[in-house]
Amino acid sequence: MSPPYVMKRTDIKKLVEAASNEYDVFGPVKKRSKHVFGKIDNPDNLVMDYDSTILSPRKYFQPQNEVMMSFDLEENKVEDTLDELRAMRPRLLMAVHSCDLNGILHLDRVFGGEYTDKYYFARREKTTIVGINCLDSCEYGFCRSMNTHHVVEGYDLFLTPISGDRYYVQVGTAKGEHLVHMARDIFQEAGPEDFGAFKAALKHKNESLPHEVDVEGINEYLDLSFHHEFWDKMAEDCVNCGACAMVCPTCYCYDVVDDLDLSLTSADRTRKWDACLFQEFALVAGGHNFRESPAARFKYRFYHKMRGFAHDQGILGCTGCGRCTAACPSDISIKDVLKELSGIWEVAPTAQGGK
Amino acid sequence: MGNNGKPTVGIFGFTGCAGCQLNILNLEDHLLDIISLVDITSWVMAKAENDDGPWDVAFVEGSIAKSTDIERLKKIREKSGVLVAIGACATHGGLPALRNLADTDEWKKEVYGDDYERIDAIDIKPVSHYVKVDYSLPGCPMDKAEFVEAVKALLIGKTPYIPQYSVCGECKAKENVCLLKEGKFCMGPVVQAGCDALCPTYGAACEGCRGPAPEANWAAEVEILKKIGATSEDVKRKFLKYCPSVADMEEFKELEF
Repeated sequence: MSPPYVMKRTDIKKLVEAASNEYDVFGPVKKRSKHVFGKIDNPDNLVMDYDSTILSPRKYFQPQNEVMMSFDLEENKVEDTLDELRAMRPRLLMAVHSCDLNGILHLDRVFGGEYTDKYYFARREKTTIVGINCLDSCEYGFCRSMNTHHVVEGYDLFLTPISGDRYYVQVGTAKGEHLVHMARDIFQEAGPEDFGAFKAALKHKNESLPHEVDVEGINEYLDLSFHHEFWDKMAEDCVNCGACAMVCPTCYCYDVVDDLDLSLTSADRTRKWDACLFQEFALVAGGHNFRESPAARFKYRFYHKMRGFAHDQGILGCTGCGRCTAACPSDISIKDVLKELSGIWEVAPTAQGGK
Repeated sequence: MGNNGKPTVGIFGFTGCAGCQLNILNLEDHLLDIISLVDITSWVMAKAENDDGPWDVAFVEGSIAKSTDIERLKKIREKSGVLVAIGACATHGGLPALRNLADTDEWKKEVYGDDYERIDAIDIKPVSHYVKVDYSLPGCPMDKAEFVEAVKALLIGKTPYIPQYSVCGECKAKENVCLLKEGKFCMGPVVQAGCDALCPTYGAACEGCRGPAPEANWAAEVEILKKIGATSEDVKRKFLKYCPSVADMEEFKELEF
């Protein structure tokens, strides 16, 4: 593994400029009072120090609308878009927070495994990711509670702001090392003093990131609460708009539709983001809806994130990024839901000690 | 089917600004393709020669504002296989129906003077109040892309698709900054999607021209708007502005503003 480096924070611009010769560069940019991941055509627009973005980086791996293939009935022809995707210009994704790096690892599990999603991984393989360490908490996030405030993989380079307006640079992969060599002169190999500065930054992080929500025993709380009136009460404010699902870094549901053109013989088969809050989400042929009431849909969203995902993948399906809370028009806070849930069971018979 | 084997189509306007019909004319990239697929046998706005039906599909724009409109509408319905209401006036009453909120005799006198009684003006209703509507393409104006999608769907025998969720869903997918969080009285949480969040994308609050989404949680929206400073009157106006027919819905009558 490559040794760690240090670099001046202001040299990020040089890195982006050098990388632009080979990559399309994306990263956080300002949008009105918020930030979003966007294309970096001018390195001055890149914001390294930001609270959160409206959408997670998921959009770069599973876009909102994605043509999977085109077909023509007259010519009896089918063409998928994979070759095009595999020939795309490499991308560099800058300044991804730990929560979102973990989010991408969640998606890797979902789209990988037995039935590998080639579209997802074509984009994934074309992307180099530079992560960045959050030393202070953000407005809505609760990463520490979800254990996503640190990463051990999922980045190519990982930057930690350290004293002297510098970044401590960890190299995660050969892709990361390649990026370093594109602007080698801005990186210096880290020495003992830099290790000290790195440790000081981590100490600051450890003291500043709050542990706000206790998810220990969440599976048991959820099992006990399935028929509890709590869910109906919480769902009263929910407008089932799906904003929470759109912004979520670990949501992945999609609908597949054929966008027919006016010849009525050829079409693009497109997949579009779907959300479990939508009325038609669990509607099947014949008219039966497995999640008929809005309150049921609200409830199942939590059960999937906090119970079903864990059952399937072995980890909770929430990274604590707080975007759903930020996006909810009714100000429903996932932290509050989790806190109230554990509060229902004052003496919860959890395996973790019966708090 | 017409003589040429193509389905026959009639496009009709009632009370409104005619902007939805104009939107069909504005479909410059698609109009020739559409004409090659269907035979538009009646469309007073665009054609000199128009026949009297029957039509496989009728697209009806505008609200029903005069008693004589009712008969005309019923005739169109009788002669049409499928009737599609297009635009907010046809689907929900639209802006013209704001006059329902005022005293009819009073404004008639004000506008038309002593001779006001000869003016045929009834309470404005959407098309569905009088006849069966098979499909609705809401919005002010009707979304052009949605119209083209509906034409394609009808031609291949599918149900035209209108998203069954609210504008917030597609607004977030476009990564817009939430206007409610900026204190603007936005109707996005309860209004039917399908417009691709056009207004919020340009920083203008949703005015609700597409009408309520199915299962819209209006009580929550009342709370949302009040929390950012809307008065009961503001909220009511927002709910009724483009879609006054909402006032006839039980859910609306039960709302506490």
